[in-house]
This record gives sequence, structure tokens and C-alpha cells, in this order.
Amino acid sequence: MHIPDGFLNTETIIITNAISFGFLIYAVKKVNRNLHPARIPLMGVTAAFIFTSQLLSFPLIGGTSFHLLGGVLISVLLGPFSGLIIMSTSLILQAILLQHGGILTLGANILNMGIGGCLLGYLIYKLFKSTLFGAAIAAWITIVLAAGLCAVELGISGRVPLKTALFSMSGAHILAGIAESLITFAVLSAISKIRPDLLALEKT
Amino acid sequence: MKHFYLDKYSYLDSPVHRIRPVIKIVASFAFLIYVIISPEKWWNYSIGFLGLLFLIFISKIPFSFVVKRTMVILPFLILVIIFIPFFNENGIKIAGLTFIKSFLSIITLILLTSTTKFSELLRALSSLGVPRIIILILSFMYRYFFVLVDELEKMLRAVKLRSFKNNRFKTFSILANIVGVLFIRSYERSERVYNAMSMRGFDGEIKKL
Repeated sequence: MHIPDGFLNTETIIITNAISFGFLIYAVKKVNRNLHPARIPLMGVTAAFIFTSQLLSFPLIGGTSFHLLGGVLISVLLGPFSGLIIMSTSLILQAILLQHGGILTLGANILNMGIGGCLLGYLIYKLFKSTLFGAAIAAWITIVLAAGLCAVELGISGRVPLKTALFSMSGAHILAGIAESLITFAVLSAISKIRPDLLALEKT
Repeated sequence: MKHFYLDKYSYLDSPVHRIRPVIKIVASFAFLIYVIISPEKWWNYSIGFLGLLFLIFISKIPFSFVVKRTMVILPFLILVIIFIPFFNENGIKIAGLTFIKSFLSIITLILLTSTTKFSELLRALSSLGVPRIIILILSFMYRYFFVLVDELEKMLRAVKLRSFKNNRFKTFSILANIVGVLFIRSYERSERVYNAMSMRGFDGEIKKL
């Protein structure tokens, strides 16, 4: 779902970058406010953790597999704004070193996976009174939303027909969303069994 | 353990490698914008393509590596091509243009990151005003990614040794547990890293001599 450069038109690039970098600057300010120095290595290593666990492919029905996105997972663990920064840096690293996703399309990718995945995901998680069940619901919604947003951005740019792409992309990700929500739920419950204190870290 | 390198050709030496990273970043960024907004004419793209080809040639990056890396745009291209039948006769033109723009952009990025060491890239980004916390997280990611991949591989090997064949559900839950344990180990590692760093005077700012 990492949109490469060249797949979006100028207007979409400007709008998505304005939204995403606006939120990202706000998140940086918010996290920088009374930042404990220990938080920096924590966020750095956690970003490496998310990047590593995205390499792991989970078997799905048939021969298909799925890899974790982790937006909800990370914001449940460290908080939505830290989550947004971590997801964005992960996307930046993937864009500059592995060319997964473009540079000018970073705004769109951060919007789909960072803002949708972390900020909105965390909001949904809070709506369900911060339960693991809520995290699972949030994970499902964020995956389907990310696919939908991706289709909308490609559609507005005139690369694919908007309606058809929207339905087929989000339809195809309903199953992936279930996988994400199962994984998020299982990972969080594994952590709460071994080190329950890690679910109560400071959340910014 | 054997790892793939993230920026394996950045340690070569060539005229392109020696250009100052800040200049390379700004030039690449300008070219990416140019590719998106420039007139959609064949001669325009050909000149850009030939220029990039020349730079790759003098920077000694193997062409096979560049070609392999450009393959990541294929899934998206296929997505666009699938929808062509629903489009009017413009579809093929749109797919072609998308492919060319995407192809030129991706080669530019490959050229940038294969001719610049990651640490220099970060220093340049920092001097261009990227927030400190993002630079620090990027450098931590680059440093600890391989360490965590090692830990992940160890755990996967342990699972393989202990379980001959599991059903799908079992595999799924074991993998999820592995991710959970990987987070706990990352957390504990970050504590150790912080202790080591604060002993050396880290207070949110990396001190350089």
C-alpha cells in the first residue's frame, strides 16, 4: 500500500503533504514537550521493532500471507503522537532506503497509515474504553480505511476509476483487516501476560 | 548471520559519491518535483532518463541492482493496468505516463541513497531542518534494525526446531507471541541502550566532539 512517486497528481500531492506534515509537526511539538531522554532510545528501538515485525509474514487462507502494519499496536503501546512519529519515520526510512513508497507521496502514505493508523486508531481504541477488544476493532477499521484512502487518492489523481477502485480495494482488505486485528489482539495479550507493566507506559 | 545491506553501494568512490550530500538531496528533490509537474512530452522524459543513466554509469552502481530495485513499483502499476478496461481510450496513456514518472523518480532515489552513506544523509537532512527527534529515531532504526532481525531469526529458528508441523491457527498464534516477545526485548534493550548512553552524557542531545 506504499504509493510510489508518479502515481499521484500535483493537487493530491500538495493536499496530502499539507495535512500529514501539519499533523507530524504538531506531533513532534507535542512529544518534545517535557520529553524524558530515555524516551528517545525507546522510540528509536520501537521503530526498529515495528520495521522488523513488518518483515514477518503471517499465513492467511490459501497461499496468501499478510504482514503487520502495526499502527494501532504502536499507538496503544506508546501513545498516538509517538506512534505517528514512529510510523512516519518508518515510512521515511522505507522510502529513502528501500524505495517502498515515494518521497513526494510520503504525505499520502503518512495520511493512510500514520494518521489513519495511529491517531484515528487510538481514538477508536479510547472509544472502546481502552480494552484489547477495542484495539482489535481499531486495527480492522484502520486497515480497511488505509486501503480506501489509497484508492481515493489514486482515484482523484485520475489513475484509477474512483468508485470501482474504492470498493475493490477496501473489499480486498476486509480479510487483511481481520488478520491485522487478530495479530494486534494476540500481540497485546501476549505482552499483557508477560510484562503487563509495558501496557501502562507513558502515552503521548 | 547474513544480512542484506540497506545501502551497500554507498561506500564506493566516484565523482557522484563525492558531491556534498546536501546538494544531492536538494537536487534529487527538485528533480522529483520537476518529473511530476514538467510537460508530459517524450523528449522531456528521455533527457531526464539519459541524464540519470549517465550518473548511474559514472557512479559505478551495478545496473542489475537498479533494475531489481525499480521492481517495487510493479504491484501499483498492475493495479492501474487492471482498471484500464473500465477507463476510456486514455487508459493506456495514463498507465504509460504513470510508469515513466514513477520509474524516473525511483531511479533518482536509488541514485541518491546508493551514493550517500546513511550517516551523511542524516546529517544533511538535519542541517536542512528535519526535527532532531526524527533524525535520532532514524539513526536508531538503522542501528537496531539488524539486531532485532537477528533476534527474530533466532526465535523463528527455535520454533522450527521445536515444532515439526503446526496447523495454520497454531502458527498464527506462535508468530503473534513472537512479535509480543520481540517488543518486550526491544523495550528492555532500549533501557540498556539508554543506560549506556546516559553514562556517556546523553541528555536528549547527542554530543559530538
